[in-house]
Amino acid sequence: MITAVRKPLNEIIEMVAPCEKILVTGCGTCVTIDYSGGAKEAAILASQLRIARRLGGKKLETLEQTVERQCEWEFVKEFTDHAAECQAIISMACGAGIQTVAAAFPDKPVFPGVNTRFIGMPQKQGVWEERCICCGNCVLHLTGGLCPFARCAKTLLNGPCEGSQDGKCEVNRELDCVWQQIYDSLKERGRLADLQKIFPLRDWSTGEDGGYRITVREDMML
Amino acid sequence: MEHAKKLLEEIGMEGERVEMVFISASEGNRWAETISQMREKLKELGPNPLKQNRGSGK
Amino acid sequence: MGESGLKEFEPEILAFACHYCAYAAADLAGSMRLQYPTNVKIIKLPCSGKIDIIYILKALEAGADGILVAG
Repeated sequence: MITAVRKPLNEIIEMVAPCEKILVTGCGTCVTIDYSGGAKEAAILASQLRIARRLGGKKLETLEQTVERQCEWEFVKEFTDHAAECQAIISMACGAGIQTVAAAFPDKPVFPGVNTRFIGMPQKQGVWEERCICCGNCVLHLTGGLCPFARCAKTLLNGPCEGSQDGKCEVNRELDCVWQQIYDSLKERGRLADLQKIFPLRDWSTGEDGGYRITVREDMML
Repeated sequence: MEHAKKLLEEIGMEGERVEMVFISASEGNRWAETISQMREKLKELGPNPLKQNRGSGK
Repeated sequence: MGESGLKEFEPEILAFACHYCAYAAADLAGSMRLQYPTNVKIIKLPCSGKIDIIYILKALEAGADGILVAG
C-alpha cells in the first residue's frame, strides 16, 4: 500500500485560512487502511479545523466526502456537487490522489492533507515499513525476497558495505542490514548460490532517474 | 484516549476535558465520585471556549 | 466584585457509558440514592470500545464542557 501521515494541523489551518467553506476529501484505499486519510481521518480533520476556527472567533463550514480511490477520474468525479459549494478542497489521499483531484477541479485550490511517505506494508499494528521504490526492474528473485534498494541506505546491489556490523546498518544502528537479511533468507531457502551472481552496472533509467514515467498499454486502450 | 487528548491540544483545547474511567456495574459510589471529581476539575478549567463563540441561541 | 452578578459556572458533562459496566453503575448509584451532580448527561454505548474520537470532538463542538468515557 501507499503510506502517508497527516500533515501537521497548523500547516493545514494556514492553508485554509482564507476559506469559509471547504470540502475535506478522504480516500478509501491505501490511506484508509493506514489510518491517515480515510473517511474517519477526514471527519476528525474537519472537526479539528472547525474547532480551531471557532476558537479564533470565526466560522468554518466543512463538507466531507470519501470515495473509493482518489487516483482515478471516475471516482473523483463524485466530488463535483460538493466541490461546487466550496472554496477549496483538502485532499487526504496520497500524492497521486491529490493531483488527480487538482486536475479534475482546475478552478479550485486543492490542498494536501497528508504527507505521502512510501510504498510499504504494516509490519505490525502501528508500524509501517518501506518495501518498494518502484525501480521498474525487479531483482527480488535474486535477493531472497528482500529489496536492497528500498532497504539499503546506499542501494547496494552486490553485498553489504563495510558498515554492516552484527547485522545492523551503519547509517542507523537500530536498522537491520538488508544484506545480512538477504544472506539469511537465501541460506534458509537453500539458494546461497544466487549470491555468486554479480549484478552488472545497473540501468536506473527505468526508475525515477529516467524522468517522468508513463506506462502505455495499447491492449488496454479503448 | 491519549490520541483524543492530543487532538484537542493540537487545536488549543485542554486535553483534561476528556477522561476515561473504568467502573464496574457494582460500583455505584464510584460513579458518583467520578462525576463529582470531574465537575470540580471542569470548574477549574472553566467553560468550553466553543460555547461562547456559538453566537446567540443554542 | 464585578463578576458577582454572574451565575456560578456549572460544567456540563457528557458521559459515554458502557451498557454493562458504567451505565449499570450509574443506575445503581441512582437506586442507592447516592448524591451526585445533576449536570451529567449519559449516552449509553453497547460497549465503551464503541467510542470514537469523532464522538468526542462533535460533543465538544456542540458545547459539552467535559467528556467522560466510562467502561
